[in-house]
Amino acid sequence: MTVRRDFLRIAAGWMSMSSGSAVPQAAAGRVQRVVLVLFGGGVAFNDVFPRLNSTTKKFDTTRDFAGKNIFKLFCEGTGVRFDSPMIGHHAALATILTGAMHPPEFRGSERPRRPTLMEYLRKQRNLDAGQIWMCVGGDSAEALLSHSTHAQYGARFGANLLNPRGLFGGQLAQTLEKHGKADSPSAAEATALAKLRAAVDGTPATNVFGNESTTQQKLTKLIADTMVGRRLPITGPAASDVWALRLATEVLKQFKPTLLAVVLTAADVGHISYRQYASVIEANDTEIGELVKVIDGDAQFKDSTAIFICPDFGRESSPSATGGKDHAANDPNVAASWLVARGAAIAKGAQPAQAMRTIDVCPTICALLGARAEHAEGRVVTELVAAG
Amino acid sequence: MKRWLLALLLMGIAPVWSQERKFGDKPDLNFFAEFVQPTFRDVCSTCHSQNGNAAFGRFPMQQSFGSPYTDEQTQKNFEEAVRRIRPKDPNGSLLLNKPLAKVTHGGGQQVREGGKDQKNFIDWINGAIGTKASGGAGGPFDLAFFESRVAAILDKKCAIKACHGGTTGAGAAFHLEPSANGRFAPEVIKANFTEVTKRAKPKDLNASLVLLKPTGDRTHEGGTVLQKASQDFGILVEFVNGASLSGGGLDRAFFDQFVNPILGRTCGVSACHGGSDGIGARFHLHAPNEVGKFSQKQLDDNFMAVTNPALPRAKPSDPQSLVLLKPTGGAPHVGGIKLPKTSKEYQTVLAWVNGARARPNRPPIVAQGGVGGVLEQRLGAPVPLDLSGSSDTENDTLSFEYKLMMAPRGARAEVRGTGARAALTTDRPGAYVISVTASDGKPGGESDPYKVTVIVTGATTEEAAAVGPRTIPAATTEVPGGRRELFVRRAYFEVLGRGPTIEEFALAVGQPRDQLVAGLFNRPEYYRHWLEEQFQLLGLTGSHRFSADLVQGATLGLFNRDYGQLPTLYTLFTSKQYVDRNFGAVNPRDFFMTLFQQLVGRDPTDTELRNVGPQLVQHVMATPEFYVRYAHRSYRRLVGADASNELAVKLAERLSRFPAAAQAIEQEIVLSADYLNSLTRPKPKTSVMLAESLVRDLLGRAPNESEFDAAQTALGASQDQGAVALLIGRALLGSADANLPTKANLGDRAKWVRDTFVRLLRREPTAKEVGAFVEAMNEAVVTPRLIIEALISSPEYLIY
Repeated sequence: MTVRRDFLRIAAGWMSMSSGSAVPQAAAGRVQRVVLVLFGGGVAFNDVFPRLNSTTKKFDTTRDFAGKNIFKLFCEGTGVRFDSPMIGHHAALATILTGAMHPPEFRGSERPRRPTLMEYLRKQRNLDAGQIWMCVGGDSAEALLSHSTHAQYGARFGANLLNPRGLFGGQLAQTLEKHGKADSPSAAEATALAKLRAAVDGTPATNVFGNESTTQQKLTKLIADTMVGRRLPITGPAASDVWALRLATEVLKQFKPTLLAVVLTAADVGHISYRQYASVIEANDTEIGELVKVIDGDAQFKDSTAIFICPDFGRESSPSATGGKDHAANDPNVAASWLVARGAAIAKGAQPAQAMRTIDVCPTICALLGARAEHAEGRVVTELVAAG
Repeated sequence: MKRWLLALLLMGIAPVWSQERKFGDKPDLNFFAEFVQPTFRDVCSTCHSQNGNAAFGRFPMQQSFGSPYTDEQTQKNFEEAVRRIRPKDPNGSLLLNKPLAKVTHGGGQQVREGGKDQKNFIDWINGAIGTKASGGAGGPFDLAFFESRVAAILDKKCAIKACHGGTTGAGAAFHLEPSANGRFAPEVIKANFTEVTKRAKPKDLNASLVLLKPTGDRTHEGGTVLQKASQDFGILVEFVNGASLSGGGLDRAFFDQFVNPILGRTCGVSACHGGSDGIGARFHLHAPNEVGKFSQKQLDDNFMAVTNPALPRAKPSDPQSLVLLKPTGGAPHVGGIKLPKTSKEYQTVLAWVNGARARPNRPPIVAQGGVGGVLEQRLGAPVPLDLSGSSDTENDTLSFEYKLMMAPRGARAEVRGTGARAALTTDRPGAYVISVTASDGKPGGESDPYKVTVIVTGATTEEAAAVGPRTIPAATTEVPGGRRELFVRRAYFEVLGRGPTIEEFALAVGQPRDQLVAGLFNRPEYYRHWLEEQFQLLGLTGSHRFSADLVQGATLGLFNRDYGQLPTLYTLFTSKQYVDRNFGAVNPRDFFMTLFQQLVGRDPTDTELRNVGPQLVQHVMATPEFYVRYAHRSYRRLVGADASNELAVKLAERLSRFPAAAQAIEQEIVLSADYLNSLTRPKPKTSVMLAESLVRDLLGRAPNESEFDAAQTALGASQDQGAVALLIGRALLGSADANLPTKANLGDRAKWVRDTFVRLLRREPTAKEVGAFVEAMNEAVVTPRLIIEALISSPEYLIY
């Protein structure tokens, strides 16, 4: 298969616009939801895509490669060069989600100080939490990215976070079974519960996160059904990421959110073993394919959803002493990363005038969905947006 | 008893919920037989029987003479009882009002107000439905022997959840219901007895599975759990052979209280029937100990020896009973005449053989006087211990024994006093646990141990010097809006990681702030919570979590000042768990980056990186940067906002000079004006706090390790903690420990709603809330359980 454009070549004709600009008028309203998959843990371009012939600039798809579904998205949409300096996983993910560069010492025990794109959307578009979701495959560190500590944003505008490892790892279900049944309330009970809660007159806490009653009801059922029905049967290095993607697919079907972010981290096993790292890419790619099938198979989603997939940064091209692949800060392959976009209002084959940066993702997605990343440092990459 | 376990126990009184019972329209015979008739037998039939004081015509009762009632007797007692009640109207029922002495009763008050007997009577009058007793009673196996001797053995060896105590798996076909902390409800005894007797053949040791399986003589998945040479196996053999504690019709209570002391003292000497050889050994009797007491086993053994069905030495109303003939010379007796017929002792034994009965002596109940709960006092004065709330059903005079079970290391402490009022004196602050037992001086008259926890606040002179001078002045103003309860709640959650119990809350609201805070910081729970907070911060959760034993050991070590908080942090940062969690072995450079960032908030320099290994941690933890970061973190955690740099530097300087000041600094923060002002901003409960709260509020106890770990991990895995709290709560409320009431036996619904609000939300509900909740209960789907679920998943429960 050949591709029409080589996304390492810079296309001419598109001028970049200044940070904070809105998308072209023609794109407004066409994007109703965005799915953002942060393929974190450090994932190199060469380990996802088919081999690129440096002379012909064509992809060789006759040989096996790990990211078949991601490549398909690239072919249907676009893939761009993504400048992503190696500043540590947590800092890199925070940078993507906030549009503001975080220093390397920003590690896994703090929340971002600037608002995330989830908060921008919730506050500026007055969206309730049921519209903004984040599923994480990692642990407590990634969960801290669900909202910032910014005084004007913060927890009350944060994303609905779900970490399947903490919920479906089997430990909770086994512990609760010793007592009774952790089942979700029946419809009649749920109605009565909502009414009773509404009758509690306590001082409302305006600075904390909260779901609407129907969202909480559906979420409770989703957790209960998943917990009871299926423990964490998947094993292997990709288990937590796969669960995050599957849960995200369920969230998409049930809640039809405006923004669905999925933060994956298992690829960092690449430090220890290349084979395991490759299996993570493959497993996640399979799940991404399932997610895309749901989008493409539903009229509500198909023509109104944009998908973005990018890693936090890449990995070195040479193996490490342990047989894995590290991500040293001074290796050019690490920072020269990739981003794929497809769907509503995404121009097929689009190429920005300059490499897209990690700080550009947040402003761009905000603009597509009608918000403005006012505290971000990046720009709205309007070149990605189709004319109409 | 492990000291660390005691150190973590605080007094709290679990809400008194009744067992879940079903109710019908009319008094139920089965419920009567199981729950009401035993009281008749033990309490009422002494007088209300043919030989009793009450005129037989007035409420005549069938007597069982120690044996189980026959169906015919039960039916007659039931019919007589029904004539004396108004169904569904306990207050109008003579059967209840008489023994409560609410109306004139020749026998006076025989049933305790608020006691189990009263509850059973009320439920029966309201139509509580029982289950038909099955198996065993009156058959070849003795229920009394099973209850007294066999049940505990099977509970320990077989009724484990993974074996026969569970409801799934290979062992579930022979289900033995486990005890509740060593106690068996009557229905559990009966059920287990039924199951066991299905697997035993009377007197046939070779065909009784209950003997063959646990010894490995028959294939047993659980392997060999009983050795044939063991005493436990011997007891099982006795059971299969028909050993009986029913006494063949002779009254057990009279024997224990009046006959056994005579026989034990007179006959149980080692040269006669107390020895293990000689002619007298065939009829073995235990003698009392040096203070005249018998253990329960000795009482059982002596009773069985005298009433052994194989060779009874006493038969009801039989003057030829050996126990009458032998010691009086009426039959050849190597020991000669030991009980002249004119003696009071002989008359007592004779009365017993002729059917004399006594009310079983019930042990006293120990209770604190006054407000009760955890006692707090500043170092320097004796701490009064008031157990004047203790009671005895027979109103016997009580004596008390006090034992100091736990005290801080190095403390010179003692409890002085033997009455209901005593005093603890000590020279060190910290937590003390005193075990109190009361005795009425009669057989079976010793209470369960009752634990009193005392927190002695303050510091020794050396400790006060070790924390350095105060840095943050205490607020002199009152809590905003005068809402002391808000301060109490917040302080408990911040310092201990959980809310106060109702009793603690009532006590704390009236306490001076500095005393309350000092008391909270002087508990092991504070250190436990501090450790959990550090674990969360360092990501030492889930598979990287320390073992429960280690955590509890560390808690105790911190509490006893064996080591300080900062050295503990050093241990965490150099632990294998921390290294593994951060891939330290695989990528040392990245690991030290992470470690540095967590310690001082920046990346290390090349020079610092060269100093790799534990020395790096030690080096960094001695820098001003570390102390400033620690100070900032403590402040932010408690106040919810950043400290000024100036304050952080001052605190850091103090910490570097006085490393033991970490706890004192946090104490000062909680007493500061900034903290008071922060009360107006609700804070979301952390997953640690919620995990503790849910289990404590719903089950009345602290969570065990697996409950805590699973719950706090799950609660941290969803931004909507209410959804997860609801699921956890629904499961916990299904537990027998939850003791949920039903709508039918709630009584005053408004009161129950009020109590539930106080218990879960730590505040009184408004009239509007009470009205709304009571009205909601008119819907069938709104049960007490659903109300509790609504409250624990409400936004208010999730904040503090």
